[in-house]
Amino acid sequence: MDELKDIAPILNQLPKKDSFQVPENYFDELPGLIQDRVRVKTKTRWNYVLKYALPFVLLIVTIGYFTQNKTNTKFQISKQEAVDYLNNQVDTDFDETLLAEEISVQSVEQQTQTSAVEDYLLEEADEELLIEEI
Amino acid sequence: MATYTDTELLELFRGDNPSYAFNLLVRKYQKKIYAQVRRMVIDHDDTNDVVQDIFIKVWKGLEKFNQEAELSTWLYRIAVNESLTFLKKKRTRFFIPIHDVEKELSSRLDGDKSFTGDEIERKLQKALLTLPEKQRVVFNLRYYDEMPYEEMSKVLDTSVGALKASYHIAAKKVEDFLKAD
Repeated sequence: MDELKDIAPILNQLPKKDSFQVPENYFDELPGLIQDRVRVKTKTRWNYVLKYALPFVLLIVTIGYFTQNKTNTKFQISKQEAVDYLNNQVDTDFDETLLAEEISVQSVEQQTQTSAVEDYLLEEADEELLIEEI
Repeated sequence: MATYTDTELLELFRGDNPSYAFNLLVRKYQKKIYAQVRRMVIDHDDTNDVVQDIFIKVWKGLEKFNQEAELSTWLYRIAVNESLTFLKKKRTRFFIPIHDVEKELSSRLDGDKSFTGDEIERKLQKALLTLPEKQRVVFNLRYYDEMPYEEMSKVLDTSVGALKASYHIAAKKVEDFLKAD
């Protein structure tokens, strides 16, 4: 190259060659090494998607599905249906006479309890005080 | 093996078998890319790592490659960037200032059995290691690959005038180094 003839004559005269030796079969094997790395990188990317991203997406979809179903199952009934339902729940064997008996029994028991209290108080009271009160 | 043009390789890549097309591309460019990187990083094992990284980047970017530039230009650009990035990382990893990295590479040349050149060629390689990295890139592309300045301008995104000046300065430095004892 005449470009160097004047500015670098020694350099210009040197034979141009690559003096770095390459290991035997290197260039036969290199394309395969590169292909293997490319394959690993592609596989790694998909493994990452399957291992982490996909389960996460499935979880979100599942939560979303069940949340959606819950809000959609509102139990809607009419007023009449509610009344009928409550009426059906009442004990039909309920007898008003039984209720009356219950009340009278309670009254007797109450009266008995009152007499017992009075008797106790009378027994324990101071006679002299009672006379003064009268 | 049949040699495909860059256009044919790209068409093949966009067809049914991109892996096959990529394999052909690697086979077409591997020696040139290897040589370019080896001149910068010197050591074979380092060169092997960088070359593989280059082609992995090519694989990732090939689908989006829009053919604004030639495929070879694009490849060389990636190769230059990856080589410079490697040297920068080497500097940062060991907290070594720039001239020491090149000094380390220069001393490696002395004991490197894979360097088959004679004494003057070894001296030439040591001279190149004294150049700033980007100037070394310019020198290698022009001197060894005889790359036209117009193409180099696209690879390095630098004006033709600046590249010519850089090359001439580099050549003079190398000449002075070769003359010295």
